[in-house]
Amino acid sequence: MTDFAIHTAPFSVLVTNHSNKLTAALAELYPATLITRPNPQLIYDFCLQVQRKWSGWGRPFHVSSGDQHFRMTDSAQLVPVFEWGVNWCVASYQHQFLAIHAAVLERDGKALIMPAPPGSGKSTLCAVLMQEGWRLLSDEMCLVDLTSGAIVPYVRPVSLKNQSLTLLQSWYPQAQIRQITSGTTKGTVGYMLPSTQSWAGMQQTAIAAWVIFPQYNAAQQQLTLSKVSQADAFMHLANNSFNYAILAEQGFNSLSRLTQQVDAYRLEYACIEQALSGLNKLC
Amino acid sequence: MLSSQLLAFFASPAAFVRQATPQQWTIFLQQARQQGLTARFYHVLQTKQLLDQVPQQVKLHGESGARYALKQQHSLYSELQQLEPLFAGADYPCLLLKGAAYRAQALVVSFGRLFSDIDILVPANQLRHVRDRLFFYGFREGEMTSYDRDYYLNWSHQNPPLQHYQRGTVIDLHHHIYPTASARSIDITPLFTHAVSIPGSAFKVPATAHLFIHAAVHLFYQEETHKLTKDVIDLNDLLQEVQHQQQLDFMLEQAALMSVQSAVSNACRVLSILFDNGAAQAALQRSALPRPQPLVCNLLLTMLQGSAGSAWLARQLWFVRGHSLKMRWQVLVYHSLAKPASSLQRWFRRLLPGHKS
Repeated sequence: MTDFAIHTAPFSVLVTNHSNKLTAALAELYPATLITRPNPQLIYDFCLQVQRKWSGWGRPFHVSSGDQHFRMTDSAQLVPVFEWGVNWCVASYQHQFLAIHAAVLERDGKALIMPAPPGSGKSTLCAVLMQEGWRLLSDEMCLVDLTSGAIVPYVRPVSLKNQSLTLLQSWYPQAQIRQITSGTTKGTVGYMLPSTQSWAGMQQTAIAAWVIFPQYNAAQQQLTLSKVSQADAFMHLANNSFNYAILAEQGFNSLSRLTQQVDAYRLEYACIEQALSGLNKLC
Repeated sequence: MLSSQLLAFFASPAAFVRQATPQQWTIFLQQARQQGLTARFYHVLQTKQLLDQVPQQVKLHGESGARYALKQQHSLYSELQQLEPLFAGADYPCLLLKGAAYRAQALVVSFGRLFSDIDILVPANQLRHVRDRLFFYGFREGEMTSYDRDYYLNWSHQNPPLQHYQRGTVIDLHHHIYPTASARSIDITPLFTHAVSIPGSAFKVPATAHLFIHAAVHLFYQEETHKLTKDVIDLNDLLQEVQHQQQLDFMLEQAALMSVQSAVSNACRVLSILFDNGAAQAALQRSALPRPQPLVCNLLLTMLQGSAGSAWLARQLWFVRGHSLKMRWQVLVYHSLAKPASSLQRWFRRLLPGHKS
């Protein structure tokens, strides 16, 4: 038993863990100060169990929260399944923030939000921007404070998939990509460590300034950056939200305020340099 | 001690809030989430004016749960509105049961309570008719094996769950409150005779006394244990409501009429022990109620409060006991053999060449 706790603000997770491999892997992904032994003096937001159980012919790991089962996995894929498990807890149970499936980065106190479905190049673009000096708030979940409208960081390692792993490594040889796991349900998955300034600012909120809907399109000759109307931006953000419908009136008010305070664009690109220079001109 | 912190909280919220350590709060939040009681504990904190005394984190998670529960309530109303025209012209009674019935009357038990489906009770001879009409309203039965389907139709007290093809809403359409395969015969005519109309709606709801009886029958005559803590907390609130509406004597009289006195008596015993419930203690004093069955009550209490090992053992015994109550022995023997045989048969069929699953 190597139980531990992860303190990634705004949510802490208490993990009942039976895998030494997971403990070692997470030590590579998170700063040492954020992974501690369980402290009985603290209240933890979520509890996850990572336990070996008999199932059919083998003894795979079961990742669950109480009697809510998340997934089974063999030891080789434990790291991605664990990371997804944490996302699953937050996406399912927290409604104190409006949560949008989006990457968020910050420069000069202003936040750039990139909501997009998988395959749009959101995580790649997010990793590139972080390498270019933007501060990472999240590569997965944009948390909007319902009262103040501020964007709340949820800093975790950036999940990269398939070709984007090799591309990122070739563009930024110094980038630290760890725990590459092949053969998962999403293909090969690896984690880029957040920059030092991103970890340091993990509790520092930002003001939403831009919403960019990225779309990678290999056939694209020229970068297109087209303005999106407030109404369209609102609907796209709502569609990408985990809990817009649950928050009802508060969700509507929160998203209205957000859409009114940002400039929204659709970014179609094939070449990352063009995308970067386009974004640099815009933001 | 599956839900020890939860039970301690609901038995005595102020004392729990005063004494709970951070470690206990962590377990409490986890258990509340598991039993779907997050919004419920938040509601209790609100009504007892204890919100200022709990840690901020507990408050935030409570608020989160309350938002989710509120959304579910809106969805319930909207779904019931969709169903109104279907039942509007019916010349037979259509009763909401369980959560939907609690909510329709805004009973205390319904605040912050989560729903997984809408339970509706119609007279047995109307079941097929109502089901067919629901088909035209976009509801369908999920995929299941023919054995399971037959089980529902012949031995249970409801149609297989009906799900709306677009909205995903699930309706459990009942013709009884207890499986027809049981040797125990429960007369549910009083549920229909004493049903209360909801102003402006085609639906009716059972009298509060019957809602309590139904919940007690569900808990004590069946084998389900996955939401045990929530079930006893529901019962506790319902019995207080019965007393509040001065239906305690009516409830005892109805329990005798429906021959479900042992369930009611055991429920009162358990509620008196767990929550010091005054109404339960009053009911147990009445000569109309038979004495509780100590073994049954102890099994339930062991599942809730016992150590991991004893709770596990109690659950196994409860499982066997529940099945032996809800099925006549002939049916039980047949089911115990036929169900595994049917699974095995399907497994072999999958091995056959050319099989498409």
